[in-house]
Amino acid sequence: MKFALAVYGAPANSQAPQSALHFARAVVAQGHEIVRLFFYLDGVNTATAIAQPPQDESNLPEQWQQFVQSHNLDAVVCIAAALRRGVVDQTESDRYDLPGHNLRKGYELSGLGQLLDGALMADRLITFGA
Amino acid sequence: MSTLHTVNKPGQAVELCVRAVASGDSVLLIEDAVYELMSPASRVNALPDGCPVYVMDIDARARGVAVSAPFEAVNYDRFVSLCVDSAKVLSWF
Repeated sequence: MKFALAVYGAPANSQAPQSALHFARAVVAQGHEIVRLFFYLDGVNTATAIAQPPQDESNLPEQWQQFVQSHNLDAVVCIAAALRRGVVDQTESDRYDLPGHNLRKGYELSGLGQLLDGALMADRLITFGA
Repeated sequence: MSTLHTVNKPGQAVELCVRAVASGDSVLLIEDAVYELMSPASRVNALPDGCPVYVMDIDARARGVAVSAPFEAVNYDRFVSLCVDSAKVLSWF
């Protein structure tokens, strides 16, 4: 079965990215397919490369990236939500003349339409709210 | 067409969910929604008879919430199975 997951909460102030990762691992373990991951609202902070959680806490951005890359998943970060929160890739950094870029490899900035597209492609869309 | 309703916080999210539950649906409490089990006037009591209420095991244990019948503790594997067995999934948060 095809799953799409939407994550609305940030690692630092919501359990959503943690729950979504548990769920995504179980989806893959059961042989189902994840056709789209969509990080929206504060959820875009899951894709930043420069957050450094304390060493005795789990590093969710790191764990998510490893999961995305090891399963070669289609991971989309909402571009409007990301820009306003300072999560940018090289292209956006150049476009707005910003001092750097911090989107982790494996993720792509794109529009909200990709959430709708994911919902249409998948048999089930599971939302992890903030 | 059965729906799985997931809820991730107690209070209004549960209340709104309960209003939307139809016959044949099921409910899964995750994250802070497991606290609903500690409330003497729990809103889940208003669910129709026979509506299964599942509780995410690790979230309940992390919060010291005991899960007993008629509630059923589930893990993430079961969460996935519940999604597969339901026609759609609605998230309340």
